[in-house]
Amino acid sequence: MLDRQLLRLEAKLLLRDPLALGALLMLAMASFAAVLAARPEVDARKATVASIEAARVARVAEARKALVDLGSSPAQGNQLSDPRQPYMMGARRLAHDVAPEPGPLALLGLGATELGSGKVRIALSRNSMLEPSEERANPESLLQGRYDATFVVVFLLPLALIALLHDLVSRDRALGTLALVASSTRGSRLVHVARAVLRLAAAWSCLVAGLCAGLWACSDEWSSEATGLLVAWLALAGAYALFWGAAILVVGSLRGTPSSHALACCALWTVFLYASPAAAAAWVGLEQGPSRVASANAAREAAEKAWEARSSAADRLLLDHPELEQSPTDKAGLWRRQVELLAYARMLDDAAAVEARRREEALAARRARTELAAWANPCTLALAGFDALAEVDEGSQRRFLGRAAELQRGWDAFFLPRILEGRTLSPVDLDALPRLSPRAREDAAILASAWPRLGGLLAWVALAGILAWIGLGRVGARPPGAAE
Amino acid sequence: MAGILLVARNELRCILRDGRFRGACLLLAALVCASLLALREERARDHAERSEARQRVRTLWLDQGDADPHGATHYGTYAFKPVTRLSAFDSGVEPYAGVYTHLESHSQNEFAARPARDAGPLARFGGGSPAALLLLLLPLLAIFLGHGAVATERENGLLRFALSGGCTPRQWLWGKFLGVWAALMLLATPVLAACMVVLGALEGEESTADHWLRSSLLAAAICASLAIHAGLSVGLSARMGGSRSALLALLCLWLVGAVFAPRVATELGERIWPTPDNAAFDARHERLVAEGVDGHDARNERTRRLREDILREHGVTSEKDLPFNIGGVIMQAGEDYSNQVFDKLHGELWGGWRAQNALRDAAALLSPLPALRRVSKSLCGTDLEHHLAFVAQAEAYRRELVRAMNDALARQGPDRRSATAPRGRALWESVPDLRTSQPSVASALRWSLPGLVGLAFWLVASLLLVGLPWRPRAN
Repeated sequence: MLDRQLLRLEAKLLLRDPLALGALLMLAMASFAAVLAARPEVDARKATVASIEAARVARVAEARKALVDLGSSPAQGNQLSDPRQPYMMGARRLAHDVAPEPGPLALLGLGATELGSGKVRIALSRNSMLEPSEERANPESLLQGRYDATFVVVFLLPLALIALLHDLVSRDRALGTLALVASSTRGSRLVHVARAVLRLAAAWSCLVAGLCAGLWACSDEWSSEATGLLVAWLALAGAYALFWGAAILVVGSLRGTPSSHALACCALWTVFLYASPAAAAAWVGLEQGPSRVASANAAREAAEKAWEARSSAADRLLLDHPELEQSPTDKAGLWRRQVELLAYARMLDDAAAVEARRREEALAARRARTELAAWANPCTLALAGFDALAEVDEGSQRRFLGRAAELQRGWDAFFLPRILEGRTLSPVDLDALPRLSPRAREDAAILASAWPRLGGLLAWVALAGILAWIGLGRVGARPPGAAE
Repeated sequence: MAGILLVARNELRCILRDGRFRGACLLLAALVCASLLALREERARDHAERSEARQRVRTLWLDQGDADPHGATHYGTYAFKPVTRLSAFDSGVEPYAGVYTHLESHSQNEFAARPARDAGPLARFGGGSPAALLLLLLPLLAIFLGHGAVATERENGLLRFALSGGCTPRQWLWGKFLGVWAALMLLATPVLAACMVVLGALEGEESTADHWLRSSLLAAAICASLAIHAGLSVGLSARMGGSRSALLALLCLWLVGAVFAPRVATELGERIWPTPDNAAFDARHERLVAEGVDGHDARNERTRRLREDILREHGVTSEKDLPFNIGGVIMQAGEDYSNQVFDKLHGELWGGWRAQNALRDAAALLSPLPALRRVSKSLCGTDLEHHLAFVAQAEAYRRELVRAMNDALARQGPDRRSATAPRGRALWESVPDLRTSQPSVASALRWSLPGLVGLAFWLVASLLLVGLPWRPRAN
């Protein structure tokens, strides 16, 4: 269909065009620089995860030593702070943080990771009503956004394509060679499409070359899962490039000069990347989401109620375990105090679950609007897909919080029976402490969230492609000289 | 002068006849109105909600009953950030800076609940507020209008004809500039006026006079920026080879200011002055605090020495013989120490952020857009400095509250039974409610100085481009 001679001639033309060459070179450099720029951030996140794990291991070792040293000697001072008491261990000594580890494609998208939860505290006695701590970050930096590969593709790739494709038709028209192209036996439409495809392929290749060079220079390890995710990422970038290529051809097929087409393409870029997201944000904003101030108030009130009711809740707990009323370790109310604190934490858990459900329900309508708005614009659709693949989106954050919650439940299940049965901890018990589940299981979920977005983007490509096909057909049908 | 005005009137008439300009104006005005209405609703709700929350936490503080004063500082209170009217015009860092903080002893907590967390991918495009739309898209419109103002006449062979009307080339250029600027002002003036009037009707923390002063200054800055872009467009159109090269140069300038420079400066800033992550920050904080007095840990070495010093100073051997409760004094000593740690750590953190912002401000030398955005955020009270000013007020209140409670604890005597020491509601009422004030307009102007200097630089440059002697060349 696209014959070789035509492509060779177009490649020669491309190589002689300084604007096109400059755009391609800039694109390759920008994508390479984006990966390099992301490296320190990703390294810092890996270092955080490593330091948190090192601190956890050190705490376990310290606790083991304390348990070995104490042996079966009687408790001294405050019995609640005796490390052999499971409550003390689960709530204080072994309490530790967990942080989300960067995904395999973290170098390709930093997103707004600081907005998410930096770390979650795993402890027996906790105020689960409080939101996980947010990373300290310069708000001005968050406002400006990051320079990453996602930014290069979503914002800069269309500009490079505008530089390459805006005068594909109008330049021939300006030079008076459009009639020559129209007289080709292949048909002018096919000639224009072949030229556009070659230029698109050149831009996409430069982008891929820059990204791969960056990844090769920055990645310490590369897994097969990462390859799968990278292929999906590049497919998404390819579909996005195709959309823009087709959209620029639609503009190019209209009457006008190279300058007016450049202007129109820039206007299109502004509409898709600024005006349309702004309109969508305004539309989404009309649906008020749940207030975080209200959540803070709910947290405070729940904490107060739980603290006041902890004693009666402990009584109720005791009704389920009548055999523990006369626990052998219940000296100076120690056992009862542990149960009360546990009852307090459990009430907060229940309140947190209710509040989380309320927030989810209140957010549902707003989320639906956001999703619809994202699908109405190929740029937001592509960005959401890139964020999902780089694991910097809300879904990834939720998956991490889910893993942390699972660990929290495991933590409770480990310590709770020991407290209720009035048992003390031994060094052997520490070997069975629950750990955060590995993230490798998530790759399927990540890919599953990216495929529909790729499908949506391809629908946009089809729409723009059909319009471009029709428009280019009209260019060919127009008699020479009638264009101006 | 009459010649200049004639050319300006003709240029304005031509622009107003252009359907594309009218369409762009309608689109922009509609977008700004939609965005304003959405943010106005949000601000009104935020204001009402935070006012109510402030009253609620105050009531909770007053209704604590006969609690332990130091225990009450652990219970603490909350500081809710006030909402300004103009934050609905330029939300600036508000969505990223957090809404409230928990004020308690031993800890200077970060501001929590950043609204941007619920915004989804749309927030990543950064164009959600009326200011973002106006400040980014109006200059683009200026470029589209002005890039061909002279070059197209030259390319069409009409330049000599246009200049044969009796005015000098410079007058003609000034006329073109005024025409383009007037067209932009025709769009900007009603939109800005509508925004300010609509927002002026909202309830806000700041005074009405403050709102109007800030609004007027902001409108003046936007008008100046339109003059800059009109001047640059017309000037480059006249002095560059053709409309295509003028357009390319102007678009590059816009792209650098709107897209590249802020992000590249952000990355550079983060590399040169990295923000420590929570784990590193908290670990350092724990280490530094552990070196000081810990009022809750009697085995702490510094606490033990302080206790001995106090006993020796009063010539007694037992805490029970002291005329006050030593616990309150030690708690306050620990608080004073941890306050020094907070000052050090937050000083370093905010110093780094300010350095990062200074680097971003330097981008104003590359394009006028970053300068205008800087000025806009400062005047709307939504820049980092306004946020930190509120953080400082909340922290000063926290320290006063904790000091008052620790003093009350000390005055309760060694056995906490002193009859003269205030207790219960009288004690809680002795700490006034948190009253914060928005920084003055003068402070806002001082903070926006880099932006103002950048705007002045570009205004002079653009007026020079229009006003310097120009010899028209035929195509």
